[in-house]
Amino acid sequence: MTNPLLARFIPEARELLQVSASGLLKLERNPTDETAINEVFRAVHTIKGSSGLFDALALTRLVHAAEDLLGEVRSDALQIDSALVDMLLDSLDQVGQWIDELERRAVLPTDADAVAHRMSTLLRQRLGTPDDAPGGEPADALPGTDPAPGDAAATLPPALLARLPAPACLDAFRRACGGETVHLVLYAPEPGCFFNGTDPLQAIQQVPGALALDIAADQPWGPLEDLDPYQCNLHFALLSTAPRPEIEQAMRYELDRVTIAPVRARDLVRIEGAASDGPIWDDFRAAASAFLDAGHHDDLRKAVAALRSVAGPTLWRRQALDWLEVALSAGEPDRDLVAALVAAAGTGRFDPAPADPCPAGEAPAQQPASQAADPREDLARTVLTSQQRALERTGYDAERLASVGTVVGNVLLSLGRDAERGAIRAALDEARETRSVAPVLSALSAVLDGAPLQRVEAAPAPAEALPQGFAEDAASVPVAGKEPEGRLAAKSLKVDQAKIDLLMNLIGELVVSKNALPFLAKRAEETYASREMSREIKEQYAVIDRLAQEMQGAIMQVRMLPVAEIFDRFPRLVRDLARKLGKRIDLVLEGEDTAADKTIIEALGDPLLHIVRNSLDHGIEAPEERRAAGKPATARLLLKARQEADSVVIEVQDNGRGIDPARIRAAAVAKGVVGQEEADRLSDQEAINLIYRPGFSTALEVSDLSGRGVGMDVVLTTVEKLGGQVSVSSRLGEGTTTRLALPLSMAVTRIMIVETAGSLYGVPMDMIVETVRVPRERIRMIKKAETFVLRETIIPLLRLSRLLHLPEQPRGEADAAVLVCHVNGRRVGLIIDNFREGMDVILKPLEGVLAGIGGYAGTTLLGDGRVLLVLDLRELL
Amino acid sequence: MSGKRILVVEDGITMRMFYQDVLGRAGFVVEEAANGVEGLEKALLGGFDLMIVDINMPKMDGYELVTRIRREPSLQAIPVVTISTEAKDADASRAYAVGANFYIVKPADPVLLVETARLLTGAQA
Repeated sequence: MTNPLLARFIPEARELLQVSASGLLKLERNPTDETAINEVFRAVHTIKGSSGLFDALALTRLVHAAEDLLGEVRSDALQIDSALVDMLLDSLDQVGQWIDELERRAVLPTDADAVAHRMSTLLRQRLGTPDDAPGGEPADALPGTDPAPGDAAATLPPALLARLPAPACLDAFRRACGGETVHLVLYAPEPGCFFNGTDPLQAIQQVPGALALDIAADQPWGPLEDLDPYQCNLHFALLSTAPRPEIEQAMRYELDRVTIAPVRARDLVRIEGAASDGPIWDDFRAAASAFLDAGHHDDLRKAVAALRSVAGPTLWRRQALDWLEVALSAGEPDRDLVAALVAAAGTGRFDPAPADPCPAGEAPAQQPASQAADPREDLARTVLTSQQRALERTGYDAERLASVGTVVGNVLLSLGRDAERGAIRAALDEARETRSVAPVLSALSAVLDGAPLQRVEAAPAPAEALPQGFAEDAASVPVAGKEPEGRLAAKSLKVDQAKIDLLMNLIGELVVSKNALPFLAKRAEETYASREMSREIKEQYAVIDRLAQEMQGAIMQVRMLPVAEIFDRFPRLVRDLARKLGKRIDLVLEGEDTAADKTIIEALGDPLLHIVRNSLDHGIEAPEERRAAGKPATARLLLKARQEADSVVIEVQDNGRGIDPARIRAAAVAKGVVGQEEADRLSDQEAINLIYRPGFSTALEVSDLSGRGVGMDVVLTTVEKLGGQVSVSSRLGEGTTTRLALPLSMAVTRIMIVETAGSLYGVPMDMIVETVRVPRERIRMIKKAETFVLRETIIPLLRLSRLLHLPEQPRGEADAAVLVCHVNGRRVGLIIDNFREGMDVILKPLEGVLAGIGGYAGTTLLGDGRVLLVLDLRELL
Repeated sequence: MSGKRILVVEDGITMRMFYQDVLGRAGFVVEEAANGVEGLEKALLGGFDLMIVDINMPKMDGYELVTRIRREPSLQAIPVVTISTEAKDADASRAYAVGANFYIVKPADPVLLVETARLLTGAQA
């Protein structure tokens, strides 16, 4: 994954998904939990916002739908229920999968659009009707309501404007005459857009400042039986008063299918009605032309009003007069336009393009949106207009004036128009004196009216104005190589785990390398007879040793993760399983903050999952059974973590039916795990422990949950591999507690070095129970096997040299050195030649061709550079 | 290099990185705050030429933050751009009403973002 922004997004999104999921569960339990709904809403909202930076539209769309739904819940317009929670959780799961996919391949799977569409449709169904289109017109024009085939064919572009409703055109015309820029937005969605999750109608409705929307068939509809309702055959036309950047913003996902262009006032004129004749028209036309030539607009206005009052409303000319009146209402009417309208009133025909500098044929709108005239110019105008509007709205307000003053001054400065800055500054002073915004408003108007804002020489081409290396989409913006000066140090860092692991390995090497120093000191003393040198080396060693240990401690702290990392997935899991099984369970988590090494935490997930599933499946009874037993119908499942000395202890406690030793015995015998005789001899506790034996599946009645072919022995194996222990205690009818104890960290392994057949080996300290020297005469033979008795327990003895296929050392008369170990739940004694020192090491796993060799946990380096093999007794025995 | 200082107040870590990258690359010095409260604290330290404020944030949302900024005599003149995923007129109106100078819809186009920042800080292209 090469995009650093995406690399940052992925962990953020995962964290937020986790927050959302747990919040949803809280909500399900308590629908009025305001904190929870706010938390979920914000998390989903943030995912949506950030995901918009990437080419992951499907993801954004789905999250958007979820956010809308949550918004309704938040505003109490929608009641949350289990079905809704299910739906939202499913959606979040899907998003999680896409995040995984983004991490792997940086793009969403090909079916993502279809999936997003399907799922967001489901979500939106719960929203009820989507918000109504402004003015209701678009709804009337919805496809399918009137699919008369001939009709559509006759009203295709270029007669587009003619199809817009006359009142809307008149409104747009009024605005255009008044100096506003009216844009025509043409939008031709891709035919397959429904499968991309695009909602074209919704998209176009996002455009602000809409005056009129027209929806028409792009191609004639054709016979009904050939109609493919899944193909979008629509063409949208919209008139908007919004500035171009705002329109582009609203349509940003569909920009390649959109054209935006300003519309001239004259192009909006649309006159219908019955033709009529009479001398009165000719008189009017002559008088009007005279007034117009003389610039007597007021007289012209009066003439228009007079004639208008006598003309029937359906007449062509009456309509021409309506338009004329609007055109004249502007402060400085467009002479050509008025002339054309006057002519129209007379001739019954409106010619939109008399003596127009811009050729009428190019009838705007065909310029692609991406080739906007000059974004900087447009943007500056939008910014200034926004200040103007804000001032108009608030009236005189000293605070407001302050920031508006800064903004306007800066915009002018940025555009290199220093001259106007003085005027604005003067206007601001005047505004403060007179406590009125009027001076500023008029100064702003003057700036905006003075054609192009940008001085030509100060305006580099837009492309050059961009910083180097800008890519089209944000997703490929590379990270700045150099941090800007003065940036505050971040409070926390998110670091790739691989980097921590590398650092950890390096520190491990350091720890091991420093072990060479004592050997060096010894050599200095013995070989070179320099006691002083030896002492100095030892002193330096002490310093390096301390530092290395501190570094190791520090890096270990970095690797520590809270148990919450794994606990957090259980609320969801337990809820889902409980629903499936028809059981009622109250899950309680305790001690989620308890921290342990990342390796431990990560490896703990599966065993814990297994134990919890087992508890749900077999331990906890169905509500009826619980009631019959006089227990509350809702069972309690407790997941508890705590630190005990150097271990992290995790308990899974349920108040279910408990484990019946008799059934375990019977099952174990039936499965051939133990013989009947042995089974009878076992204490109840020992019988319960049988569930961890390989081959014993706990499933006395196999359900769809535990019928997975793995027994609890997997739990034992995994936990022991981590150097931990499992124990289970149970009371019939009252419940079961499973206890896992694991080391806090696996980074450093404490080993004991032992000598056998002339070679040194390491044995992990956590396997060793004790070391004893056994006199030869106390070693007894039982059925050809050596044993000895340690505190009234018979311990089988094994010779390490034999296990390793090494030549036997001749047996002396000396006491045998025996390492008593706890392996696979049993105690064994290993006869070795001699005990050596213990040490902390970083284990390196066997790699390459050696990786397949069993019996070794890994290797480490001794101080003198020799490689020490560390034994894996579980595999060896 | 304009050296103009921008305070970005945004709760999304990815979005912050985006602003840092896009604006930093264009020569701005970008500082970050993860929520409204932190944003107000940093803004009060002074020295910023522009604030970019996300609307939907924990602790103190963008509207509230802008309202409070405008109540501070030392911050009344600072240009403020609000950013939100909502393209609704009502949201923009509300932002302007509490004292914002400009409103951008998220995800902001990098070009638009840089140009807006330049215009509002008086930086040359």
